[in-house]
Amino acid sequence: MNPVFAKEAGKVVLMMGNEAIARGAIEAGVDFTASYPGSPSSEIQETLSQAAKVFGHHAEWSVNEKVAFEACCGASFAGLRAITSMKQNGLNVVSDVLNTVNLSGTKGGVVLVVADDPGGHSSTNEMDSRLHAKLAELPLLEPSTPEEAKEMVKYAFELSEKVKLPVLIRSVTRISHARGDVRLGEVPARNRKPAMGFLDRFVGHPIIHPLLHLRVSQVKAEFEKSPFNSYLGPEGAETVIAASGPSAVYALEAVHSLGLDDQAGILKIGASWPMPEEFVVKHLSKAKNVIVYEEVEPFLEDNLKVVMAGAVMGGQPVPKFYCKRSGHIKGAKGPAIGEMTPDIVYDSLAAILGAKGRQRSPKFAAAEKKVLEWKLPAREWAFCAGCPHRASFWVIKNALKEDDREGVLIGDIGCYSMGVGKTGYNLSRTLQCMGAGIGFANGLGNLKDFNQPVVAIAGDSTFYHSCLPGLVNMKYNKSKMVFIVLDNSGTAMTGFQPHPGTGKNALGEPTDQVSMEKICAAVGIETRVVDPFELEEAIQALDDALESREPRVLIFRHKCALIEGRERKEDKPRVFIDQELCLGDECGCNRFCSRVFACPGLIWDESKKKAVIDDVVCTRCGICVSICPREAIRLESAPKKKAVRRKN
Amino acid sequence: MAYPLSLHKGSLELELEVLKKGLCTSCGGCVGICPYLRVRKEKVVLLEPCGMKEGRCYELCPRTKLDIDGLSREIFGRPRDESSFLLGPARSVCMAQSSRPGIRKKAQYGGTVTGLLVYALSKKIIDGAILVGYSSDYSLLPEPVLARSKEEILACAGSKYTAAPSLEILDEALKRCRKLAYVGRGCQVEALRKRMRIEPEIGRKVALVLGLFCMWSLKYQKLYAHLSEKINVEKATGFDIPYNRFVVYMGAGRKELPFEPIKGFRRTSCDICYDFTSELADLSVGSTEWKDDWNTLIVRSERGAKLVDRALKDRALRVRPLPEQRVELLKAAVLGKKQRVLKALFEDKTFPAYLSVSEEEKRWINNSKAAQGVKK
Repeated sequence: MNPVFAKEAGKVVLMMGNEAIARGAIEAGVDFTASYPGSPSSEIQETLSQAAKVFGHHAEWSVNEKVAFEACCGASFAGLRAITSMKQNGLNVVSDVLNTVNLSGTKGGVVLVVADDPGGHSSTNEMDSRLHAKLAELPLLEPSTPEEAKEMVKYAFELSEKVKLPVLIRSVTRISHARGDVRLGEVPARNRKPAMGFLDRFVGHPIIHPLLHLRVSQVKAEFEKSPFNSYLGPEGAETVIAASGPSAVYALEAVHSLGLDDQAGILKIGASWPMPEEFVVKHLSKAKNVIVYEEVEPFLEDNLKVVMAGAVMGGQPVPKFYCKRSGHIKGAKGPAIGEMTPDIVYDSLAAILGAKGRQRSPKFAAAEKKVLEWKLPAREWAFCAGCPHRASFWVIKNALKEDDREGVLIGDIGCYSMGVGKTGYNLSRTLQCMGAGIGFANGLGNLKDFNQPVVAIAGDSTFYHSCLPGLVNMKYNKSKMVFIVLDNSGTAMTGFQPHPGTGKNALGEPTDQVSMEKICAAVGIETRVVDPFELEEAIQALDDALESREPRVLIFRHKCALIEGRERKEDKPRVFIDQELCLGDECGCNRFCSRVFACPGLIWDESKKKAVIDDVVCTRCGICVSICPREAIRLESAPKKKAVRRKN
Repeated sequence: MAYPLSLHKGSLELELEVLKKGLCTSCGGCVGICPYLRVRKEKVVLLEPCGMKEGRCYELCPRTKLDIDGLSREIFGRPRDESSFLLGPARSVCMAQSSRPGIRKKAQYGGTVTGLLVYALSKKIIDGAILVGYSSDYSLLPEPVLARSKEEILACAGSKYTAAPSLEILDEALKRCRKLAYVGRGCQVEALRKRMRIEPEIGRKVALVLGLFCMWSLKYQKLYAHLSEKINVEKATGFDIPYNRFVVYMGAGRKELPFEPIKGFRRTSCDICYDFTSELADLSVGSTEWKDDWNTLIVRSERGAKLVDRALKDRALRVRPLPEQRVELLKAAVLGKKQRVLKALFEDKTFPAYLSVSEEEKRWINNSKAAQGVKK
């Protein structure tokens, strides 16, 4: 059994932050869990889905974050405890209902965990979700360690039930994907019975706004004495470092390591919105210098300044802030951009306090020098060997050229987002948020005097997530566009979570499959399913769709190479390049396969000046066989011969 | 393998100077040898420049430097002169027809091309022919076919009036045939001959080049769009342009449409074509514009003459002299076109002067007048 599910309270288990968050929900006796995957949050629901079989709670991958959160609210309205998790972009999808359910209030505990991605390792932005808590006037908790994350989740359920509001927890990559010791707590028996009593009504209306303010002040009172807010250091220190999230741990390490324990105190703010004003003033009232560390936006900084401005007007001395807005705290790209790192904390702290910088052992310095000399090449964004998206982009590239009207490709979110780069032949003109592609295309496809054909793409999971309104709109408003669903049978980018098209649920059990072609047909748009590996057929299908000058849907269906590889039982024939036939640099090819089609499994042998298959990387998908004009790329089985009849 | 190329230009220039200028004849010559070039409904496009400084694509294009003098000399063993300036090198100009009524009925006019091919195949003079049939996916769209049986040849009988870039399958066909016949328009024959210059081994595997008279070819997509407005084009099985009328066949039925608007869909490139009668072919065949079950046949090369002689001897083909007045009419039509083309290329300079002809030929053409009493 997964050690995260162990029943022995008191046991210390090494856990990923996301697992600790899931464990927190389990220890809170959660009844209902629903999410949509997104890095760095995905493992929370994955763990909860696995745990469902052990603890009996409901677990689902919902079609999108909004539905997931609303489902959780539904459970709450019936008195159950519910948790949803998402990445920062997902919170935007939820924001509409977040700003009404704050007014209506909830019943059973509802916790919304948002895992931010500072630096945007796997996101189209590095949005700071904490501002949503302020916007929706909801309680916000910011864990600094995996264990604290677990404790905060448990507390969040209690708080939610006490004040009848959803509670937000902001994790970040370095919590969610870091591992730390977590002490297991008791797992209580779940015995809540869902029911909606006569008075259980949840109506969002401005008339309730005063009630929300009352609830927020209740939360503030809680936070004034919250154990998640603490001060460590000499009483009445001249320098106080205020920090939240992992930055608090970096600050703790740096202060100690730089020998500043006697000079500087650390004010760790874990329960950060609404601000525990009295607690803050108490610890900053004697400080001359306030240094603020947090990730991305100056959220804590601004809130502290507002609190201190009030205190100053009440007669307190004016502290000096060393922070993002002052320009003292910044990474290589400037303040409020990218992740907070121990290096930034060390360097700024030393600079501000005039301390000697970070000392490292000579052994470390030597090792560092050696590693930096290697100058590891940056890893290029690229579709995997055998990826159906490469075939799809190839088809689109060919068809748009053949169509010859400078057609544009409008991208969306998924593995195929990489289509903005070289691996997708730089075809995608947009990359924003889920479902935006079909929306942009709806507009472009309805412009008078715009003669460039419009093609929008979205993955299968994205299709269910947020493309349906765009699909209906394109039919209703007759937008002349081709919508291509790149159906690779899973939510590949975030780790192959199932979705409505897969016929499997979050627990891996069979469920009703929702057919995307039936949806499209029901909308009344002519829809064709094509395998993008059948290159010529797919190119022709797209050509036909473009020439029709009416709304069309194409479903490019081919299983993700990684899913296919996992499911495959038998070996496939090896792909090899006939070195005699390979033209290499000559006219008639000039490295067409390795340079233009560019699959990582098909490489250029500098010494022989010929293309060669990298047997380690090649997935034996065989698509390159049809690319080679000389038929030099072959399968280790009988060669094919077909009638010479060119299909236009 | 380095090819002996003389123009030192590649796909980038091909795109700039030919494709983007609308001068492509859709011969298909470049498409078949190169994965960077593609064709869709007879329109050739460059996927992206291949990055080579020079290439066969540019070299063989019938709309890049066309040394008609040099090519004539290489193919027919003698320079062009007053006797060949107009109709190209010719041993004889006559009327011809297949002696099989079945072939005549199926084919265009006298069925000379179909008849000769069926005959040559039966005598193992050829072992396959690149022809043009109709696409099974798109109504009225010609599609290149390698025909290797009598039935396959017969299935391709009849003229197609759009470009049919059949050179596209040349290399595939050469993998399967050692004595290939090629049937095409003047520009396609030019491209094939230019290709043979680069790769002489291809010449050894092509046993017969049969050129078709061609005043212009139509743009498929424009024609299709036009016809869609007039008829149920998906039901159309073929069309014909007898004496400037436009007739569409719909299974057993037929429908006639005004030809004037359709004329406007001819390829721009055809307006600068100097080669109405396929002057670089072994044999050239066209209509007589007079007798519906006969063709005009121009015998040009020795190998063409041999095939015709054998076919006559074996009674597969019939010939008759083409009356002098009809020859003069043909010459007048060619002269008018050649004069217009020379003017466009060398005087008005509205198009790039791709054509390389001797000053003597230019002068001769420019100064000639159509024979008395013959309407141009």
